[in-house]
Amino acid sequence: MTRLTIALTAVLALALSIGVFRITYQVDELEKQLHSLNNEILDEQETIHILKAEWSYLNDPSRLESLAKRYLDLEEMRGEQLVTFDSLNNPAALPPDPNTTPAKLEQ
Amino acid sequence: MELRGAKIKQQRNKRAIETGHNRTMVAGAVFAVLFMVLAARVVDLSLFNGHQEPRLVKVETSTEIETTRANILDRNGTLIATSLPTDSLFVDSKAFMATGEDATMTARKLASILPELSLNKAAEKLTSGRRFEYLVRNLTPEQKYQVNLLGIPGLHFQREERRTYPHGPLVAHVLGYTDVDGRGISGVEKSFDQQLLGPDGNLQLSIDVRVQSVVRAALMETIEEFKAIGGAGLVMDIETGELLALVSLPDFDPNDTSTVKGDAGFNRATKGVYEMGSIFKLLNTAMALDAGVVTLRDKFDATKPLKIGRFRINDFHGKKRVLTVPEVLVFSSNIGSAQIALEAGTDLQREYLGRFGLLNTASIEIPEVGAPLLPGNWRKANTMTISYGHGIAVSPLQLTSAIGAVANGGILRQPTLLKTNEADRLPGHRVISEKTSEVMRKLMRLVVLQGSGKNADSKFYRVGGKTGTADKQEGGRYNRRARISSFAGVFPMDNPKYAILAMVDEPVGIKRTFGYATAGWVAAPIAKKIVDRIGPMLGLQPSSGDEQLYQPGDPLFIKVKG
Repeated sequence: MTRLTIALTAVLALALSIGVFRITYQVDELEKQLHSLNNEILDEQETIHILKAEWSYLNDPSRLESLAKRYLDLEEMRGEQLVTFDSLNNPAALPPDPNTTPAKLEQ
Repeated sequence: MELRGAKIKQQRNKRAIETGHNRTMVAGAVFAVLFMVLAARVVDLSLFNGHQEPRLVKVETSTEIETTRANILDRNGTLIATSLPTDSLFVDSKAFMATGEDATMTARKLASILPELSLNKAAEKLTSGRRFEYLVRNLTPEQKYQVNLLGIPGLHFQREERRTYPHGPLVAHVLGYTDVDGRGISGVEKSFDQQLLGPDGNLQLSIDVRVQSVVRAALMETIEEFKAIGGAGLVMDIETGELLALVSLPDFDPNDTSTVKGDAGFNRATKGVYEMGSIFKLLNTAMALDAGVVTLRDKFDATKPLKIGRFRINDFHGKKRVLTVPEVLVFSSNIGSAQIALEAGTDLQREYLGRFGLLNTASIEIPEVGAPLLPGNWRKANTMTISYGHGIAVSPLQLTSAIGAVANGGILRQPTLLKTNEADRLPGHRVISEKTSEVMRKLMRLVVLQGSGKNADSKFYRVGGKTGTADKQEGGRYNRRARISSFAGVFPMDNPKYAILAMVDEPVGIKRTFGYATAGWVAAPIAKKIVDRIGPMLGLQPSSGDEQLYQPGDPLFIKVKG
């Protein structure tokens, strides 16, 4: 009886200490991972910050304007191109558009 | 005896066992209870999550990168100023000299990568013996890579931050700039230095970079065409006082502080004060109508020049006839305006100009503000000239908010460069009555329809306003060749939302304008360009319906011929 108890206790102690060691190492490993992930996040955030500045630089209105003039077949928006919902009921009030013919609904 | 002894012994043993048993039971029960409590706690923690996660003593944070200076955004959230990490190259001269490398050779190698490095200075710094000496600050990543590739010992990089303005000179005069250590030197960067350095100090301006860009481009084009020395342009929301655009030309690139030189660093829109000429007739008319000094039907004789002391007041394109009050404004008659001002008197004029905020220094969130120049002794002659904008110099910013007050129902709004929300908006001051403002709107529209502001009229949005051409004073005398041409107006007239001011400094007449450099030719078309472009941008519905034409007999009827 006593022997059995001692043996059991010893086994339990061994198992527990192995378990504790394993968990300690696992936690250490996870902490290292966390640290490097946090560093990566910081790096990414810095990159995002720089990219945001670049995005703003690339979206400079005068730059966009010159690019649009060079590559796009678009004109500056004119006031008459703004339409309200109410005027949609009244086709006469809509600006004339020679390029499009009213599309027919296919049945 | 022995038997008895054994019996007693047996009984004693039995008692002892019973006591032991009881004690074990009690101890067991206590432990059982304790274990139960523990078990319950475990169940509570794991299953019911009754308490928060345990707090670590040291939590690793990765929420935000630390920048020493916060961002500045425009009203739509576009980034217009930010701090980017860069590297500065410095030399540890002791370590460099210990390797015995040749300083001049090294300097030459470095200069081939870093063109701003001076050879002599670099060689000197390399052999100075100091442990820290900046060579070049704020390198590009490419330059850093190349310097590293050289593999010179003793050269190190220090992480720094550099203030960057992605839109370059576009918002220069509003933002200002910072020195190499990131301290604000002018503009918003200076006035909000403390906030920008604090945590979460992001700043959102009322400026709209799209509107700003349109205003700047239109102004720049005109300045080039008329060979002017500069100009200013403002767009203001007249309901809130928010400035959507504030341009002063010439400007500078805040990324490169060496461009802030002389005139380029001078903010004409807020710091410069100018005699704005006939635009003041709007204020003069508004004053006289509001105080009830004149009515729309009153007439003034503009057949001959007015004489006061040694002054002679004349009209630029005189009609040489009797003019009604609306006609005085539409034909921009100095003679008529001076007579209206005389009817009102000096005290009334000063009171109203004070109400319009033209006698005090404007308040705006940048340090560059100019105080108006007023006559020291406000005499009758001053009253007469001020009625048409001479003898008083105000900043374009002041005039914009005054014109806004004329058109928005009579409330003067505090101009601001910060995006405001309804809650913390300052209440305005009433300057003129709502009724006067309504009449003034009609008059402003008439000037553009029939007067000198014709070139300001947009096809889609009704514009109202007034032109002003004033000769510049030089050493106390007026120079007939140097003038300020400006236009101040509001749009759309059916429901005025925005005030516009365009001012061009010293335009020179050209062939296309038959040699004229007056405001009708120079400044009014700028306003038209701006309105045409920003109307759709700001989502304004084009003006619709026919405009009311005034018939003879209506006080607002303008007799154009004769």
